[in-house]
Amino acid sequence: MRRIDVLSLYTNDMSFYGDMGNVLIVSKRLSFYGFEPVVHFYNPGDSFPDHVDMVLGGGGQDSGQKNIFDDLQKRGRQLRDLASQGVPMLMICGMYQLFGKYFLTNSGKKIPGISVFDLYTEASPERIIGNLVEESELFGRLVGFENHSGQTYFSSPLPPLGRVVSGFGNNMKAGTDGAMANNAIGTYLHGPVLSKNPVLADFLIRKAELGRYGTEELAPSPALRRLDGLAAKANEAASRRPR
Amino acid sequence: MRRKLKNTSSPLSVVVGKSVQGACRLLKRGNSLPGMIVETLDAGFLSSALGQLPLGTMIVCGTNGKTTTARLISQALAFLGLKVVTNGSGANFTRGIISSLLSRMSPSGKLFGDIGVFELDEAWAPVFCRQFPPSYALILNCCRDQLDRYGERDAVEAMLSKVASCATKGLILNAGDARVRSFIGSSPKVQTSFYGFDPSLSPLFPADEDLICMRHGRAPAVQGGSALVALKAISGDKASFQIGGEEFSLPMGVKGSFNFLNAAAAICGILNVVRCCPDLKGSARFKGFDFSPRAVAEAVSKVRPAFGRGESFEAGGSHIEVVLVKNPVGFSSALRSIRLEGKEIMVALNDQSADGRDVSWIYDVDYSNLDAVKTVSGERAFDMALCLEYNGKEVLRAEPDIEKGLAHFLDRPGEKLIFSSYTSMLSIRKLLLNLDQSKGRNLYAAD
Repeated sequence: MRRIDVLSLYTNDMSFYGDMGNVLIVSKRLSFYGFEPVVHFYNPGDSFPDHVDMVLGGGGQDSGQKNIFDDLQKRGRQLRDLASQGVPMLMICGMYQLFGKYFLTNSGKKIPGISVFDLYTEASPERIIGNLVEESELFGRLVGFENHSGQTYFSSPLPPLGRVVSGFGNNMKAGTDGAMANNAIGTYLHGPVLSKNPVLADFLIRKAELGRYGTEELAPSPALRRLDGLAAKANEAASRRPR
Repeated sequence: MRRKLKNTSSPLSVVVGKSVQGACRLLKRGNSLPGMIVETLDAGFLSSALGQLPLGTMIVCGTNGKTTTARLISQALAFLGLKVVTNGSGANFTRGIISSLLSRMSPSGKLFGDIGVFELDEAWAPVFCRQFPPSYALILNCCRDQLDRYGERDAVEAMLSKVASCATKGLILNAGDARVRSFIGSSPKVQTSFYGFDPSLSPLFPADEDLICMRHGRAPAVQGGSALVALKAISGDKASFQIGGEEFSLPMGVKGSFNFLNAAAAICGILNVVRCCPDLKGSARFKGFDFSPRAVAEAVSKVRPAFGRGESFEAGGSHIEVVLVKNPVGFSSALRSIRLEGKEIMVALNDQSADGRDVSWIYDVDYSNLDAVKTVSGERAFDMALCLEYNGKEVLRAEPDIEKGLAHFLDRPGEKLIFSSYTSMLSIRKLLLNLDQSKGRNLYAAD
């Protein structure tokens, strides 16, 4: 069976808002498509797997970000290399911020990120919390929930993941959410995002397959038809909920 | 004017509050308005009212189990012979407490009672403590809950720590929760008592960290520590409590092992009061009362479930239990501690602000004990169904409309179990009570 190695980055500290669901969803979908998913849960100090086909990271509390900070600096170069090789990545909220250039705290301190995305984030006294609906050129309507105090700005023109229909996303002004660089995706969408937006999951899986096996064809699966039917209904229902 | 009112229960605010309360009752309106008005009118109301209670006031706080634990304590104290002032189920903001005090007060502002026992919302507890530092604070746990309201769990931990530091006589802490355990010493002059569980029971009481670690195949941390009251063993509806050197095995009025742990908290809370009030045994008012560990444990064991917290109903030939679940730890412990075999299961998930607008947390629940789910309902029925299916649990029907969902769930008689978020629980409870009444049977007595 064709194996796909998935790296779940800093699971213990950076899966505080349900983002571990993305790991479950990717593994299940990989299985349904006939792959053998192997998930590596990586936490500070752990050894890095020899081979990585996909990287998933989530949101954490400020204290969680502090816990992983030193280790992330050590792994920064490795992760940047993987991203530039086209390894698909999905970084939510806190990890999205740390995959940018830096995070400017309320006290004016600059916390360096690992610069996979050419963007930066500034702490804001106001926390942005609520349902988030956006329209993505590549993926259609994406829905989820945002909960962040950082406001993210692009340093150079980047393709956002989506245009915000309802909610805020990157910051209070730009009307965009998330960013894309190669096959790395950053976003503020929790939910977990892959639950109601399976098209994103399939993008990550296709790119992982391409990187490892040189093809990107996913055989249709009846089990997934049922799940995706539910996902479409959940997406529809969530997009109508008040903020 | 306000300054003058500061430390005396102004008859004016009491009279106004009681009048508004009367009007609300006539108009069948909610009960928090009078509390809100008095809170604005008389900043010293709480301290002048509660200051009258000879044995002081205990507040119960934490993420999960507040309503049940406050009920266990107040009803057990009443069984033991005390006059207890308490707030109604879920009315756990300061205004709800003020409203409940108003209804117990004479027009001249006299509050009748021996002791106050109040459950307090995490965010309102520090507000309460600023107005009136409680004699006793009981902190149950600190886990992920309503992150759309608090932003981070660290914020909740800070609030609870503040509450722990305000207690003036006694502090009761859960030894099995690492964050709560760390509050020891936050109020150095008080009598601190721990309650906990035997290490053999630790799989039943997961913490947030355990739910994440177990996905990696790591064993959860064993917690316990030395406790005044320890939940020692569970066998069906019976719980064994170790108190000092003695062990008491008792059939319990509440259900589910998480409620047995709440019972340990309640026993510990009452025994802490007994330790702090030596005259409880000497004074004429309490002459002949029995506050021995056995009497306290028995009193707690007799208390029945609180509103929507493990209540059961009979409808359409079915026996239906309703269990409130609102965060990963609560839902996971419920799934581990309630017998699921032979029961049809329904899960209802709403996303009103009282439920939490963000439903992402359902992906952090450990569903491994669950088999199939017959019905999923509520505003986020499809989210719930999808999550269960990804977890390999078959869902027979997803129906967002709760009335239709419940009708499907009850289509044939049997043993049934409903896990529900808060607002969907309110709808389900109402529907079930109507079904009960239509058969002319009154199966649930409120108290």
